[in-house]
Amino acid sequence: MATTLTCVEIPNGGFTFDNCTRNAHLEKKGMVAPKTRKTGTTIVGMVFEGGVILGADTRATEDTIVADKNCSKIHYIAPNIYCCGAGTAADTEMTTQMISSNLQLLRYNTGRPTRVATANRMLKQYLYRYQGHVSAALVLGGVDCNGAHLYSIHPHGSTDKLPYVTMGSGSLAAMATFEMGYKPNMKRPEAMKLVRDAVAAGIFNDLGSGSNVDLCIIGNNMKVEYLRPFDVANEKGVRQGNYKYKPGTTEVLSKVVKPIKFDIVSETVQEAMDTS
Amino acid sequence: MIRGDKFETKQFSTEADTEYGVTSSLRSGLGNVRSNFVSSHPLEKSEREYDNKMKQMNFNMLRNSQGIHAPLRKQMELTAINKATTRLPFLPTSNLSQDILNGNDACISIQDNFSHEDSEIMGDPHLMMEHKLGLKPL
Repeated sequence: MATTLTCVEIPNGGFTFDNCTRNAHLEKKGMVAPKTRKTGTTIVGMVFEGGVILGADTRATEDTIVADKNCSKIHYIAPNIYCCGAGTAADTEMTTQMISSNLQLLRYNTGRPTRVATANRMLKQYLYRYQGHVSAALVLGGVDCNGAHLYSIHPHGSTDKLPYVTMGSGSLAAMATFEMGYKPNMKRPEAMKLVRDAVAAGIFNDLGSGSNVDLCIIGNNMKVEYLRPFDVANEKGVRQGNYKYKPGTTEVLSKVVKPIKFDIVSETVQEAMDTS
Repeated sequence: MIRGDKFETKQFSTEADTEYGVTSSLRSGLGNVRSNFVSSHPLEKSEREYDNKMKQMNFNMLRNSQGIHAPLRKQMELTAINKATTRLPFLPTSNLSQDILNGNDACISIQDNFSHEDSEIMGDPHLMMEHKLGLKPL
């Protein structure tokens, strides 16, 4: 049964700001807003001889608590393009999914494989539209007909096209590692090790990053290897002692079984809920 | 005087008012004048005008690159389709032809994520017809 709303035009859809005044008013009265789950993160990307490598840690935090010990920060954009996301977890997830859907529709329309520059432009135009309120910092990497490309995209919509990039709270530690060890046209094992070291620097030196290192290698032949986890940097400790008692430790001396007598006082049948 | 709010002003409603400029509390409830001038979020104004602005920008680019005939033809097609397929305002529409002409049939946007497509509420038919026909409300 449709309920009617007092409005003169059908609203368009998309973000609405109806509750903003209410929220401001409530916060003045002392309400504490719920905390968003952020991926205080280390995400890195690097172009090497055989393509592009993306690396990320796997910790998601809610302020000071680890919300997810093994979350996946490398998102699929296209068969030849992947994107690491830092910032508010929901924002990165939904933004990358939306752009991925748009690119699939574009592929159906044009019949051609997607270029990394297209994904970059779509992302930056979307993020600029929301002036940084969509808190998503991304490292976009992929291989297309023009070679391997790597972009870093900031929440306000600015992008940089570089051979190696880092984003997130652990980006300084990771960038220090890259600056020490990066050489153009590195070989594959060397490159994988450097990316792993950069993410590990973030994991060990930044509180917002932790757990494992995930790697995604997109080769020049557009073949993707998603290594999750590539390296378990933080193993959970093994418990040293067991304080459980074995069954049978306490001797049973005697056993008495008594049935509990009860009377049924009344019986009711719950009607099915009306959800129309 | 409106005190230092950093957000842009909201466009204040015009057509819904009565002829003497007094807002009808039957329609829009007991409001306060301040809320007409101060928006609650910096993006509110920008989002409200976004579709129109993008359309204007695209038409301008089309005019600059292909000449005056290009946007003129597109607008003619849109007008013709609107005349042919517009339903009464409170009835559900798929807007398929308008979507195709605007190029939205091959796009997924935030409006599809948060859409009113399967909404179980509808606008009041009388109010919406009066608004559409420009009749002055009580």
